[in-house]
Amino acid sequence: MLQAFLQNVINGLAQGSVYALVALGYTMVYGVLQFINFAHSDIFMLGAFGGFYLAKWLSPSVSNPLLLLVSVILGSMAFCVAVGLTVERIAYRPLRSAPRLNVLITAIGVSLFLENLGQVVFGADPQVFPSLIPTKSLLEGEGLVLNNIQVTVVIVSVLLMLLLHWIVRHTKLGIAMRAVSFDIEVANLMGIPTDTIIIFTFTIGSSLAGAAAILYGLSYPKIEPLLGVMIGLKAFVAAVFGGIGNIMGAAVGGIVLGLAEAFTVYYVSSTFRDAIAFGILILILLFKPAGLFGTFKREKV
Amino acid sequence: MILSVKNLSVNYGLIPAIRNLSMEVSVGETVALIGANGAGKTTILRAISGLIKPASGSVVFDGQDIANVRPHLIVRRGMSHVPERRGIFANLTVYENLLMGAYTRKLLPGDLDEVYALFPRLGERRKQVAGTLSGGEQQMLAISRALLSRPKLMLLDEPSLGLAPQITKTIFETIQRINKSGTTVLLVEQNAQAALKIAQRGYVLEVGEITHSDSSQALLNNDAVRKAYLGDH
Repeated sequence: MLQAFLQNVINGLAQGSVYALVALGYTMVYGVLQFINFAHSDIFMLGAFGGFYLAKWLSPSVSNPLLLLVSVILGSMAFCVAVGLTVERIAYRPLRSAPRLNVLITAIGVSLFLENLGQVVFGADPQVFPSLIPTKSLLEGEGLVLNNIQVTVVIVSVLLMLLLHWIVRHTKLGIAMRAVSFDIEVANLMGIPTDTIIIFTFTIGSSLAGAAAILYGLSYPKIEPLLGVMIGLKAFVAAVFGGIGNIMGAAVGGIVLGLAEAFTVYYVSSTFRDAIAFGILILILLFKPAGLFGTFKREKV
Repeated sequence: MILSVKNLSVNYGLIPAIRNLSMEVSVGETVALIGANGAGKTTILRAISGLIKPASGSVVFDGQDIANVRPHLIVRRGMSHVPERRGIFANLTVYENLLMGAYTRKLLPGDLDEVYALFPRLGERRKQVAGTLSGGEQQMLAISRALLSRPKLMLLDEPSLGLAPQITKTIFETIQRINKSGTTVLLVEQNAQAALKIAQRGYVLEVGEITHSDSSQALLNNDAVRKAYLGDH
């Protein structure tokens, strides 16, 4: 009973931290630009493939697994940043003064483009993501499965989220990002250039997606060009659940969603794994549409 | 002349909001722009600080035409704009708001002491989230924040809006002090009395056009102006 509970917590945390990392990208871009960057999930997918090829290329020469893991994560992050900024520059920036709906439709277009491009370039067949670090069981005999992969996923995610927290609270650009997401016009009056902050936001969001992609590849070593679709939808649900635009909310939303899935699979049925995310979305939209931590902007006059 | 607006016209869509307006501000002055609600006072300030593009006309600031320069670059040239309703970042702390005010430059240790000396309340509340401040404190924060970019010219949009008379008095005294220490001020107000008391000159705006332009004293004594804007019947 207790073992099963703990097992679900472990599984849920590992899965949830990947959702959380992806959800942060959605929520930050929404915070600054007020649109859902649907291409974010495909940037995650490209990160997984980037990491896949990088790992193949590096693994003959790098024998230290930790070094290999770190290089692949950093490589994937850098690749995702490059893609994210290119998408922002080519697809979104020209629409800066266009109605939001146009930008949203463009985002869907970019998403479909990247998915199909992925199928052309990588092929539609799933590929096996290389195991960067050999799986080792850390607990045995207690009826619990806890391995080094799960621990790595959670530790890397927590470290990245702490880093993000520090950036957003204590760096000038991080504070400026929060200022822009509160009021873009007043931020301009402070001398804050909108474009710089948008680039900064896409850089952070995409790099988190890149890291999340590798963590995902470690846990579920099967990747294909439509990989981002379901993860992206669930991360989006996590972001809405936490309150879209709210950074803390996205992190918490991701973890909660991961846990909810793990428990649903165990206590109900694995067929409900995907249904639970969208069930949560419906419930939150019905009962607390601003999300767990979200508030509708209100000003004291 | 630090600011010279010539033949400025601003449209909202097809509707003209400002028609062929000219005004000037000299170095060191406090100039008041008064007028009723909807006369276009805020629109003029927004056009000067680059938030809206004028349909025609020029805005010359410190010798250069800035009519098509983006707002964040205008700040770097030495203009700061305290927007209507103060525009504080309610999700940021008082300290973080001030830090954003100094975005264009490096914040020196003495800068904040200066602000806290001007408004001790802000010092006491530096770690508080700005959205929890009272209206008067928010206005103090908005003004301090605008000062931190070290502006040559400061635009103030209705600093007295929604404030109690006592706090309005403090705010206007502070504006006067800021002006005395060398910052030129262009002040938009509905509270014409208070504005003209601290300004040397004033412009009266009526539906997008300037109807009077004179020294504050003359405007305060002008019958038409008194009737319309100073509550004299």
